This record gives sequence, structure tokens and C-alpha cells, in this order.
Amino acid sequence: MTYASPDRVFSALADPTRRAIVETLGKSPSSVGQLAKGFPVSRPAISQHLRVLGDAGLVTVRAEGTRRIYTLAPMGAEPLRDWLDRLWDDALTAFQKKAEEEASK
Amino acid sequence: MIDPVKKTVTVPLPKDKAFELFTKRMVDWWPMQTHSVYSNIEGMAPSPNLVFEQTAGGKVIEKLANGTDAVWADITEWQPNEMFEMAWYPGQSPEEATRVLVTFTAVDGGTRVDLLHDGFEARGEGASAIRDNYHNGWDPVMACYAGRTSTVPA
Repeated sequence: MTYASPDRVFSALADPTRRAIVETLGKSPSSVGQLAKGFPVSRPAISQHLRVLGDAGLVTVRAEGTRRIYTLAPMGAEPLRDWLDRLWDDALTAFQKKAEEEASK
Repeated sequence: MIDPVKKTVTVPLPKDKAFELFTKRMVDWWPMQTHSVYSNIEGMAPSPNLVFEQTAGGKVIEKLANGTDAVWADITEWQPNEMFEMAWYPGQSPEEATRVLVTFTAVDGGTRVDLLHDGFEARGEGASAIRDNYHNGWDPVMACYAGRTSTVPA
């Protein structure tokens, strides 16, 4: 099954620190420095987590002067649900078609 | 939290026939070309064989020609002709299972099939961790997104 996109979302959110970062960014957009103050991990570690979240499409970044401000991507968690939605649409459409064939026998 | 996926379809078959087709004969209708574990793997033809073990504790298994099995789901509840529930994890480990509940209801002209897919918090984290940490774990994270996405125009 095509798990690539939702998989990335799930594995990005599998890490408790990254989930906490997402929660923090949900409250207010932050720089790496601001995030690092709130977490017992190093700035490079925060940057690495932000990179993973960015690759999964969960977090976006914008430049504000010399700082880089991280925010939640509005549609971050959507790939998963969209994918499942399509899966069951496809499956139930196929089921219905087969059932109609059976009924007309 | 991610909203459950809910789907409904009505088919022109009596309940027992609809149930049998959905479960025992899943291989006859499941879109294997696009939705099988192996269909996306380079050089692997889609599997022609899907086995649905019709009992609580049974499994849904995709069987490949080379003898490899891929378990898609464990049947967790089984009420023939009425409903079944499965822990769904195609291409994943059982710890990452989500829940699929399918119910069959007699209606005029046939059977209504309702499908509910939920339990997405289980993915990406162990089930026991979820139980221990449900309220401060995944839920608030998804709530962040729910809050964000609801403000985005469709």
C-alpha cells in the first residue's frame, strides 16, 4: 500500500520530543533558540528534530530578519487521513460493484 | 486527534451474502492492483491471493506467489452476518495497528455496510505506551492540527 507519505508523518511524530515541539509550535511560532530554552536538549538536536518534522511536511519555516521562525504547516496531518479516505473509497466501490454483479446473476 | 474515517455503502444483497462477500470472498473484490502491500514494491507482481480467516483471532493475509505472507489484520471481534472488527496493520507491525469496524444492516433492497476506521493514535507508538500516555501523548498533538486545519478554507 502507498504508505510513503503518511508513514513519514507517523514516524516523525513517533518521537516524544518532536510531539512536544509540535505542541509548542501549535501555541506560538518559535525560533530554534526559543524552542531550545523549553526543552532539555541541545540546539543542534532541536534543529535535527525540526528537519525531520519539515521533511514530513509538518512544520514550515520563514525568515524574520536574521532569525528563522518555525510554524506548524496547516495541512500537516492531512496526508494520512486523505490516504485512508481514498483507500476505503476505492475498496468499498469495488465491493459494491462486485455485489451488484452477484445480485444480477 | 485525527477524525475517524467513516464510509457507508448499500449493496443489493441479503445480509448473509453481503457479509460473506466482504469477508470470506474479499479476494474477489479487493483492489489488489492499487491497494496491496506488495503492489508498490519494484519487481513484485500484485499478489493474487488474499485469505480472510473467518473467526475471532483469525487473520487477513496477503499471500504472494513466492510463498511470502503479509498479515494485514487480526480479527478481534467476529459476529457472523452482523459485524466484525479488526486490528489493521498492512505493511506495519501489529503494535501499530489501527481499528476497522464493519457492520452490516438489513435495509430495503439489500444491506447497508458501515465502515469505521479509527485508533490512529496507535500508529507510530506502541499500544502499551498509548494506554499509559493516551491523554498527554498523541491527542494534544493532533488537536493542534485539528485546530489549525479547521481555519483553512477548503
